Amino acid sequence: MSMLIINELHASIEEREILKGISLTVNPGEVHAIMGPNGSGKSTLASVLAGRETYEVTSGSVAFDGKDLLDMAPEERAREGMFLAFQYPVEIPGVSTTNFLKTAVNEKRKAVGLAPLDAVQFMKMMKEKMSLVQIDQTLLSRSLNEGFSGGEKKRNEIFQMAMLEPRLGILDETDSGLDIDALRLVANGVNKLRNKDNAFVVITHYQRLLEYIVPDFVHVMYNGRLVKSGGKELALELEDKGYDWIKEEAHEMA
Amino acid sequence: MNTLESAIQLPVRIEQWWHAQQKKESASPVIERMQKAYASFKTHGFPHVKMEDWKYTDVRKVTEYPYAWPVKNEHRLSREYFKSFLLAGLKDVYRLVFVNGYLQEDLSILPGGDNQFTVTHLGDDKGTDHYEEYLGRVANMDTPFTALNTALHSDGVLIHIKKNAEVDKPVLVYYVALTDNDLYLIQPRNIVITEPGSKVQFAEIFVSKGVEPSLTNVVTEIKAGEGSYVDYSRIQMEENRNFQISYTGIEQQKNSRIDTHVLCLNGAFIRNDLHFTLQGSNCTSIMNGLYILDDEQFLDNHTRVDHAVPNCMSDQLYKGILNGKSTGVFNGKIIVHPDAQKTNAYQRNVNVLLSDNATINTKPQLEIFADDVRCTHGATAGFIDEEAIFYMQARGISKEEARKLLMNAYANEIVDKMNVEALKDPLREYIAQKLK
Ligand SMILES: Nc1ncnc2c1ncn2[C@@H]1O[C@H](COP(=O)(O)OP(=O)(O)OP(=O)(O)O)[C@@H](O)[C@H]1O
Ligand SMILES: [Mg+2]
Repeated sequence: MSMLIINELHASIEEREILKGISLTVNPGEVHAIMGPNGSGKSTLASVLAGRETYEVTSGSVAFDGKDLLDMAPEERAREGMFLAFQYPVEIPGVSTTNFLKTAVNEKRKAVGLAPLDAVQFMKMMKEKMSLVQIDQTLLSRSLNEGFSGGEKKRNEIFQMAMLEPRLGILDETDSGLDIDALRLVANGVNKLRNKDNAFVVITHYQRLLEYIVPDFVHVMYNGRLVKSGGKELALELEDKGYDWIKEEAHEMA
Repeated sequence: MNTLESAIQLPVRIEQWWHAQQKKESASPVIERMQKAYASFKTHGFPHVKMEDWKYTDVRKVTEYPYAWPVKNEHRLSREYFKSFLLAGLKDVYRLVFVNGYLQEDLSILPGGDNQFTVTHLGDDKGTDHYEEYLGRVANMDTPFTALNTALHSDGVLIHIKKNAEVDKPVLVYYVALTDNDLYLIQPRNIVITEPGSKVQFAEIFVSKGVEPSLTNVVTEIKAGEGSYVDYSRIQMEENRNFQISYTGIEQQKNSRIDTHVLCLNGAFIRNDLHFTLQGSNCTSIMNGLYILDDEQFLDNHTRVDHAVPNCMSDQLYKGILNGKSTGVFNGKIIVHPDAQKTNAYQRNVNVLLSDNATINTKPQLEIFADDVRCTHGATAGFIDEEAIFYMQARGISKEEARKLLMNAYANEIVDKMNVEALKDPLREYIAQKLK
């Protein structure tokens, strides 16, 4: 069964339509990359999938493991296994990453009828996942994202993803702001999390990330639509030629 | 209470209490001071909203009740009943418990025979040197409520610490308002004297139980000697029918440090005045404040720091959470007098409104008459950060839980700064309860 089926999704903000009919199917075990020019709607799609209320879905449907995703509150989606690594992670003053994740992990466990992790179990899990993205303990005891560097924020997103073990991970420009070593670390982290039961949607501007996280499909978003899809070689072609030819094609189609 | 009696206005009642007290006292310098204070109160009456400092604070809401003057030993608390109050069962502390303004001796935990410091109460000491020497020395007589308290107070704590002495345990002073039988005007008076190089932590904790309202008008005077260190907390958590007006006057000599923590966690109506006068150089004055208002609660925090000499530092952070139809007022005055060069003064007031019907009036007021100073100030009021809430939701945390996490963290920044460790956990719990 497909994990995610997006069908003709339209969404707008303040009367302005941003997503203009998106259809996309993601199966377990797959990695999809979404590329596209600035302002084309990539983050909007990610936000709508995660349940941000500022966007209004005007038509279309999204099924997640056979359930109506759009009917669920953001936290329910997360508990069902959806994870969004934010393009701009939010600062949460006064709440440490550790404390935050303890709450999040246990809320998720509660939702599936599991007992909360005790302090020892939780620390063990933390240690394990910390080594995955090589994140520093001191960072985790500070207020979440507050005063973190751009790269630290992104790495922290992947760390959180590792802790929450989602079915579907959506990475919104997780590579931007990362130095070359950090990029490799993050990509390796994602690759270690990959298995036949989960899937990833990777939003990026750069071919480079896709050298490490090799996608099964590459889609190009332009002006609120997925205007072109292909294999991983499409990313190379875009790197080479830019978006103009895509835009032209799209205009001819319209 | 019969209707005839209840029809008598508060100032008339006060006049009666005053005369009754006068009959019992013989002439002395302190009596003269009280008489002057009473005359001042009589001339000015209660403050009103046309006065700049009382613009948002209509005291008629709390003075138009037919209060009675509490009688010593009329209300007593059993040990068990006392323990049922929040923060009451703490160990390893010195303790004084005032019930409707009078000390209930059997609940006290006081230091032994050590002569390095005395923790006692005014009632015991009335007419003695300390009382005579210090009553009304620090408190600003201008405000009518302070004058009223100076003229007519029941009892209160008196802490005196000798040179270089350190009080080994925090001194917790409880003020319990019991209003099951009647409504009361309760006027405690506290005096804290630290001689050079000494150290003390003390906290004033206000709680209440009963069916009738009460008005507590409390004055605390702190005279901090050279190089002394006072950690002072005021924790207000009376019920939703009790009113409070407070004045804390602090006078600092050089190299002294005072940390203040003012936590207004509950009560129907609160007006706090906190006034620092820095008389010696190199003083540090810390002002931490937290208020959490709900329903129709009203709170006014007025603070004032008079930087009169060079090289002092004051640092203020007051944080508020306002829910329901509550109203908050913050007025923070910092006055840097012409001689007070190299002053560092920081002030911040931040507010989160959890409801559209809550109101905050915030006014930072810097008056700087010296040129070589560093002063910063800022005041903000806003709604809860929806982006942060969504971020947490996207991690599986419910909206409710996210709101609670965020608000508790926000409030606990102030609790974390407190120094009396024993108070912190119960306060965090209480705050979590109130933010539910
Ligand atoms: N809250 C908002 N209010 C108004 N317009 C918005 C809002 N959010 C997004 N938009 C608009 O929607 C369009 C798509 O934005 P989106 O962030 O989805 O683009 P993107 O493809 O992620 O771009 P980038 O590559 O720069 O991250 C943009 O024109 C943007 O200005
Ligand atoms: Mg984007």
